[in-house]
Amino acid sequence: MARVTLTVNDRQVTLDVHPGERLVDTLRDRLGLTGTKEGCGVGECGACTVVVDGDAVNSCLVLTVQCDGAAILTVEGLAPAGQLSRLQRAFLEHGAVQCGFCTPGMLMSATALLARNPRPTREEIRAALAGNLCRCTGYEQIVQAVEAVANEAE
Amino acid sequence: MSIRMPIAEVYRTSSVDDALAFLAEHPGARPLAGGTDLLVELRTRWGGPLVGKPGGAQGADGGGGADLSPASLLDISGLPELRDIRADGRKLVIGACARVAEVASSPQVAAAAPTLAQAAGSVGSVQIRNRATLGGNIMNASPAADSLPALAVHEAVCVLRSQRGGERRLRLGELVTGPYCTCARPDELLVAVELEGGSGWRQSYMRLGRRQAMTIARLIVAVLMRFEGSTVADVRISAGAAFPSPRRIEPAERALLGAPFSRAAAREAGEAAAEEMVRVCGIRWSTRYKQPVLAALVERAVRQCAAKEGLDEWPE
Repeated sequence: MARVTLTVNDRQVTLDVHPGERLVDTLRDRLGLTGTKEGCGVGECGACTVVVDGDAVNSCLVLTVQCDGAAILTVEGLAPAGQLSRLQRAFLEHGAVQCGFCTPGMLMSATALLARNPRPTREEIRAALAGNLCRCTGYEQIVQAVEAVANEAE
Repeated sequence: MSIRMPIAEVYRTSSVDDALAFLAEHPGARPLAGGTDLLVELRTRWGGPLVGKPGGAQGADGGGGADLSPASLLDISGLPELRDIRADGRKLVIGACARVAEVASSPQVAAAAPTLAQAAGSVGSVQIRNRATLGGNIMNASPAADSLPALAVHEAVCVLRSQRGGERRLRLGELVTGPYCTCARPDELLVAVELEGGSGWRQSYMRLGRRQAMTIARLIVAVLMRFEGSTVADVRISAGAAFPSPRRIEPAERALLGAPFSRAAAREAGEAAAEEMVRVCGIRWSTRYKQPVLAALVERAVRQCAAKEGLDEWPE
């Protein structure tokens, strides 16, 4: 076991983890943050995307022991007081949620993009979301939702 | 479903010297950087890539020959000394743990080796590029690795280090000996890659996949050309997903070198590249597709270089 300290959604936690424990399992099973979904488990689908130190990553391909000292943002952290973020509201307004399984990953990829580049072009949005699959194929509405937030930025 | 990866130990190192000492003492240990290949490999070995089956230690191959003992890993991802990207005179030195996203957006890489910047930008997805490292792309040694053709045309030198043997410098084609094989010793760590930069090169990098993102390349072509007037003064051509290990395709280069550029010569270079692929790899299931397509891609990449020099129209 190894001791790691993580800052998850602005809350510091210290855990003893098995060396083979994946970040997605730590988040879901030990911290109860089940908003993060696991799809393929091999980095192809992006459902498990979370933001680690500002970067969107697949939490199924990160070992928790590699995250000691890291700041992690999950979909729960987008609405800390139950107040949806602007991006989440845009998803609702544009019908960007169908079955919803890909939604947390889409939100986290788009959140990381907008933090770095508040006014991305449509091409930049599509590139940022290329690692997130939507089985309902609702891509157009998802891109529109991100675009709507980008168009409001100063 | 909770998955415990078959990992016995992850040693978190704080310096390269400490990492080399660990490798010297633990010859079976494997360096872990971004984990985007290694963790998938470990998971696949353990119970199939798509569905986690607790207790289902039999892989798709029925378990025969698969190594099921838990791995011992050396986490080098946190070593800042391996993440540096810097221009050193005409050389570009990239730390082995520089992330692929950093290589893709580095101004130094864009200036000295735009083909490599483009190659890095076409790896996987944003999420993969944020974790994957250039050193990992090399050491995983996939024949379809996006960076290898770009590194090959820049005559990349790979710097390996070990406690016992000190530093060893190998050309990319010497280090990567075949599909998923390198000649690195178990106690050696890839610490950096050095590229010959230099100005005056016209460059082209082309990649074909079944879709644009998150797909293994079907074919990759990288070309550097230097012109004197309309004469091809220097040319380097490499291809990915076409050969067992990274190399320059000399018969294709010979079709162009020292002669005035012409579209006929570009076509000849493409055909020579495709013939060389078949000579090296033999006829495979994919040859009927790859032979004409590699020829067309090399021809187009060469014409793109000539177009950048004003010697041809931009090929569509």
